[in-house]
Amino acid sequence: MNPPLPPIAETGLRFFGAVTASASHELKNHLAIINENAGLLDDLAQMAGRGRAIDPNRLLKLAADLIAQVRRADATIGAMNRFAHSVDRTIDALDLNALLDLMARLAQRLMAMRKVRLIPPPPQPSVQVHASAYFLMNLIWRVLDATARESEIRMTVESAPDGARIHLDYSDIALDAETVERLGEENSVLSDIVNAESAYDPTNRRLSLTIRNAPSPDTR
Amino acid sequence: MRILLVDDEQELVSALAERLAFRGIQADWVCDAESAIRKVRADHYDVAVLDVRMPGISGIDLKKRLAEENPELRFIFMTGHGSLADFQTGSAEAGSDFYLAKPVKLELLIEKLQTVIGNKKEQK
Repeated sequence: MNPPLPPIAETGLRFFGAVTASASHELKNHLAIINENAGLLDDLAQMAGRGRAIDPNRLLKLAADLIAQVRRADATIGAMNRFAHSVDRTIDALDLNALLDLMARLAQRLMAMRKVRLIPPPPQPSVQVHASAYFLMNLIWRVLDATARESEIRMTVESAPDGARIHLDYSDIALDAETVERLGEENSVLSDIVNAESAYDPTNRRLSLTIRNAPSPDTR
Repeated sequence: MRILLVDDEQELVSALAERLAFRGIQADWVCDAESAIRKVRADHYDVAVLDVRMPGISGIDLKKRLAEENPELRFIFMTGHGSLADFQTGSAEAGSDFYLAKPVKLELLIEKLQTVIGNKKEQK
């Protein structure tokens, strides 16, 4: 019998599984739409072959829909590729705007199922922190998984002394004290790995993660 | 035969409905659970084809809600789940209804629709 996995390994693997399952599900949907639109083109071509007039605008619209789906699928695959490369370096100088943008894309389906609109940070100058990209995303994912339901969640970042801060602003729901406490307990190991501390401001419905820089790759 | 297609991907259900119409099968479509419930309450449908996962509700839960509105309604599920294990779990949860993997083969869907309608007539 194999020895049990350490909890952090299991948590990391579950995160990997959840992200890849979600992305593959999305890809299946893109392929299904491409399949139906291609089928529709085939139907129309056969009707045209039998002498029925087909509006060229109809064909143009179908072609545009096909291209749009290919682009959506390509964006999903691009996000998967960036996610896969998040384990290339143990500690990296992370652009948090880019990381949260990736998170918003990876969590899109999970959030849609919960009727949550997850808004990535607006374009702004890079805010960097030295941390493990994979485990930081794992931590954010777990926070979202535990708290996101029927709300708009706006993600922003700012510099902090010796690191950076991520804010999650919930427009329609307030987190209760029990949920906040459980978040801290259940994510303590991940928080330690990325030097993160969480704090919740009930007045502004704002959950903040402060991440202190790990020793940079150059100084380790 | 009158069909209701329910999936949060509008392009999927609208194209599918048009292709079914070309083959003489009348199919309406909606993209959320509440619209599906309203449709089934207002009109008669023989079969509902449901996505297994939709925002805010699972296809299995939606099936129960729609069956309350029309006990004679029959169901076929579409899923984006890729693995055999997911497929088997979903089939078990869905009961004896048909369970098709996306992308759905139109001919297979039509075959299943005819089987479901045939079974329904036999039960009467």
